[in-house]
Amino acid sequence: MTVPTQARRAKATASNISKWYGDLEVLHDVSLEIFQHEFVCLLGPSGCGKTTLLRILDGLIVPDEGTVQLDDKVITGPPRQAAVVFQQFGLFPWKTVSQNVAFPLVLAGVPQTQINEKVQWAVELVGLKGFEAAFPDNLSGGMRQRVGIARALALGPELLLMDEPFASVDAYTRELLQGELLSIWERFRQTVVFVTHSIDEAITLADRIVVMKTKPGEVYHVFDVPIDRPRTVDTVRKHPAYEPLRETIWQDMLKGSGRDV
Amino acid sequence: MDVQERLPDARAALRERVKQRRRQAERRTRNRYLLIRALSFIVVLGAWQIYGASTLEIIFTPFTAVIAHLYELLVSGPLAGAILYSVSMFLGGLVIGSIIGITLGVAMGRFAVFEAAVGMYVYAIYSTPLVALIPLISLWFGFGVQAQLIIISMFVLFPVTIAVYNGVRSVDPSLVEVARSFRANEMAMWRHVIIPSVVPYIVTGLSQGVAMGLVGMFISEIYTALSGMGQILAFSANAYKTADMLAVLLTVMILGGFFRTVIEELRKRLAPWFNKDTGR
Repeated sequence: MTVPTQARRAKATASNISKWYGDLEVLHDVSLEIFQHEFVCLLGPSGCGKTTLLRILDGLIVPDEGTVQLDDKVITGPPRQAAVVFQQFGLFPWKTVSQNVAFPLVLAGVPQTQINEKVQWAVELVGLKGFEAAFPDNLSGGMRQRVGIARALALGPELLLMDEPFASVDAYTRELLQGELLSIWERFRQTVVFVTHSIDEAITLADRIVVMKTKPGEVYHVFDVPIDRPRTVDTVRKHPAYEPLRETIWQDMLKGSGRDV
Repeated sequence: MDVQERLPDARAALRERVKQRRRQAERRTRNRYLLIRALSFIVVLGAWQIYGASTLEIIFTPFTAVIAHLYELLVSGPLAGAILYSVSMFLGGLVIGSIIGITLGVAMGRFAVFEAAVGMYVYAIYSTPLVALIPLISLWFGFGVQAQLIIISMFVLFPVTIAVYNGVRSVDPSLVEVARSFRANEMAMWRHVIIPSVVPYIVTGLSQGVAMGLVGMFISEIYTALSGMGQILAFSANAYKTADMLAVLLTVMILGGFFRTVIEELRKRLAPWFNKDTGR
């Protein structure tokens, strides 16, 4: 189910983004087009500015240079169509699972009956039925991030921004969540920007992988992932394109972080 | 039935047995601690009784005598009226001090400009022994109800202010970002992020405020116009009526314990997610 190139429409466009923290240039002249219904991974080592770039795409951080356009409109703050899944989950400890998932809906002024329906839908989608009344502190890391994902999906976002969402859970749960994200995404096809430092994770999930280099953070190379959907974690690993792509990207990342190979 | 079919039954029975054993173990632990408390109570009261009986009446009196005096003071003496007076003053001061303290703490925590302008005075007065200010307060406000309320409020005010200030300062910035990302305005930010994060700190401040307020209550009643429970304490001390003194002290202890329990209940009600052990 690939969309022909000429029919591809840019969902989000970052143009000539630069960002400084004091004397440190975190991002240097980054330009990036994210197409509609595309799953893009931003891949790079720590300190390449990929998380900063994600926050700039959500309008949480204002870049020193450049602009972000969403559907051809320059954003000036967090856009209504976008939702973020945070690395440290970002759940409110005083809200139950339901209340956390309902949060964006409440803020958006959705009527209460619809909120209940949408929360129920999202909670079931991520497999948390039965935990609606639990507080986050009583959940495992994997379950907390399921809440984070449900919260982001509840409003039906067109652009889903995921900031290393599985970096804080154990390896086993990470693979489970990757598989679940794949099947959810293959049903709804929101446009996704997914930040990760794991090559495996990027190949498993993405249509396109944007490798970033460090000091300063820049887009280094972009790779297409030639693996058909629907995917599972297992079919991706066994795909003939998997190993060569992994090796190519690994070499590219080494070069990008300034190591001679 | 073959083995395969009976397996779930056996497992359920085992689970039930394990649960039952755990419940028994919990009950045993609970009972043991209850027993220790009861024993400790008996030992302390026994020591009190024996020492009180063996020494001069003006040094110490037996527990039973204290209870008898307490009853006497309550039924035919001035204690009931004094408790009513003191507790009303205390509650009045607690309310005034808490309202000002919460407002001041929130304003200092949320608005850097306000903190810069006012913070240093708050800290300066906080580190001054409040007793030293009482002559000044009496000079300005006299020795009556007004002065007493001011004194109690001041004792309550500072611990509440400091606790609330710390609470507002320790709002998790990543949660503020989450709320911002979901397009929260300032009102929603307060309602969903700041106030819930500060509530446990307010309750902590209140429980310190209660402790300090009781101190302030006695001090105000002894250092301004003698009144309430402070008056009974002072009179009985001057008259060497040790049993009456101890009866008043016992009353305050019970009151303090009562208010602490109320605050703890309040915390459970208002901040059920807040775990004292993990601090969140």
